[in-house]
Amino acid sequence: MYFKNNNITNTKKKILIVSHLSKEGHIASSFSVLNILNVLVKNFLFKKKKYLSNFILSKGHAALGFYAILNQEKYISDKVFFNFAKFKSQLGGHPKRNEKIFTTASTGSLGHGLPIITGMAFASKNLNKSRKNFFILMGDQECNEGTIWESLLLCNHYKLNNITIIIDRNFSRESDLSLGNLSNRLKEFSQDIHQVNGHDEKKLLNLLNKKNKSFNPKIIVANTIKGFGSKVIEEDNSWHHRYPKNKFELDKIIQTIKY
Amino acid sequence: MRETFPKFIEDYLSKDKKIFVLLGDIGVYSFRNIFNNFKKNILNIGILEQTMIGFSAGLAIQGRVPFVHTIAPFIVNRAYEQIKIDLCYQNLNVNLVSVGASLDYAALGSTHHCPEDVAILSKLPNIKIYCPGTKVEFYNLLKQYALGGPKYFRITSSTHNLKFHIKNNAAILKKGKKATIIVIGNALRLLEDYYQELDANIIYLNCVKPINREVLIKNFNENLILIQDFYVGSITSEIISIYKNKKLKIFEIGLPNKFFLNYGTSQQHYTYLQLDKKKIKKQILTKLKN
Repeated sequence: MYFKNNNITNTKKKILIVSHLSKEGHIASSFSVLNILNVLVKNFLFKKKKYLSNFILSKGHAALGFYAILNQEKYISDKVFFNFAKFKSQLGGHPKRNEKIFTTASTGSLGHGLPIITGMAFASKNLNKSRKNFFILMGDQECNEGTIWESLLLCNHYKLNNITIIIDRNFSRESDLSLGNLSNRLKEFSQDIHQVNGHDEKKLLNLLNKKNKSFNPKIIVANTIKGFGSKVIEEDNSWHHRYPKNKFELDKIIQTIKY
Repeated sequence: MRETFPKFIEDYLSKDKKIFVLLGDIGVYSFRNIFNNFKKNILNIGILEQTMIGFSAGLAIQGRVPFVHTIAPFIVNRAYEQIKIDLCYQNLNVNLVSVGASLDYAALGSTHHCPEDVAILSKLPNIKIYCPGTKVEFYNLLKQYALGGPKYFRITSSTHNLKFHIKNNAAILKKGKKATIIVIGNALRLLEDYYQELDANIIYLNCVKPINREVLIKNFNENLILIQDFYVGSITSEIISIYKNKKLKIFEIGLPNKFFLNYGTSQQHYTYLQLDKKKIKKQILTKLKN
């Protein structure tokens, strides 16, 4: 059974409220990656409360999920979070580069994050001689983009084992363009490749903590369920980009959150 | 002009180790000395232009000052969205140095021509666009490499042969009464033999974004002739916005908006397109008479 996490359940409810208030947000995609983001934010992106500038949310449409976890961990205040996607807000439907809100790259158009983090990791390892690790969260269908495979070639060639690539494998558009056995396809690019249940935070943490002994990026294919936690959102794809319209719909959908 | 770029990099790398050069598998031979002497500061990254731009953004985020170099259409067209988002939206200091401009690679066909670079790049906020007309101008413009934000240097093998003082990317070559003639970068070669004879303000610009508005406003004439070595219409709206409340008659000389389907040399193309000195002089004189 899934690792039960009351915090995350509350955070999902908060996402629904914020989405209702802002009339914006990709709820289903955010729920898909919430456990992954929870593990990353709690363990790898901050040191003594200071952001390490080592993360790119390449599937930018999950911004609401990222900011929700930052709010849950008290890096972003309620006041700021509840302003999500409002006219003067720094937090938008897709992230905009701003280190003050822990956003290293502007994303939203898919396939931009990996080339950028490849450049960052290259500079860090080869030029700055730093041992810092970099993390990127991508969508599975983002792998349709050619820049992903271009960047993987570079990661291999320059032995960038200081990058951890997490792929949110929620099979959301598998029927339209199949990625097939994604792990097998990626094996050419990494000897340190893993598959994991992307909602099992314990297993995710273990994998992320494991030292990468190869000369390639660590790749984690995290099998997830889009909309995870609410059967209604899981089963109805209209929730890909939809917000609870009124108080009634908001209350109703909050009731469906199970974990 | 092409050889000026490796020379500049060599001169400046000895003082500034933050410089980092990315070649898109172009110009590798001309950078051979830098590969030997500064191998930590240069990569021939391969033929992956979109990723090359994103990669350069990553270098800039880590405090490096990247120069990205390849043939114009492969950066400007192929990686346009990367330039828009990774460089302009994030406002990162990355220097794009293209070669080929409009028709340098005449014999290679339209895949290698880029007469539209100024038109499409100038619509992106935050970018600066330089069109040097000589090697010396190019070298001097490159000195601005450390300035914040993305920059595009439009490098071409056809240069003009005049020397004059340039201030804030503009020069007033001559004052006159009948018109104001704005000449961009290397297009000055088409006027250099006879511009003294023309009764017009002749303004030279080697930066089209941002344009030196002050010089244009001070040298206003309602008859405006715009001479450029890229598609006509590329910067017209910007010029109009500078003279917003004034009546203007604009006449443009430049490349027509079409594919250039012949091969041969760029000179043959310019002759075929009636963009040679004689024909242009005749056109300008006719305009100045009216």
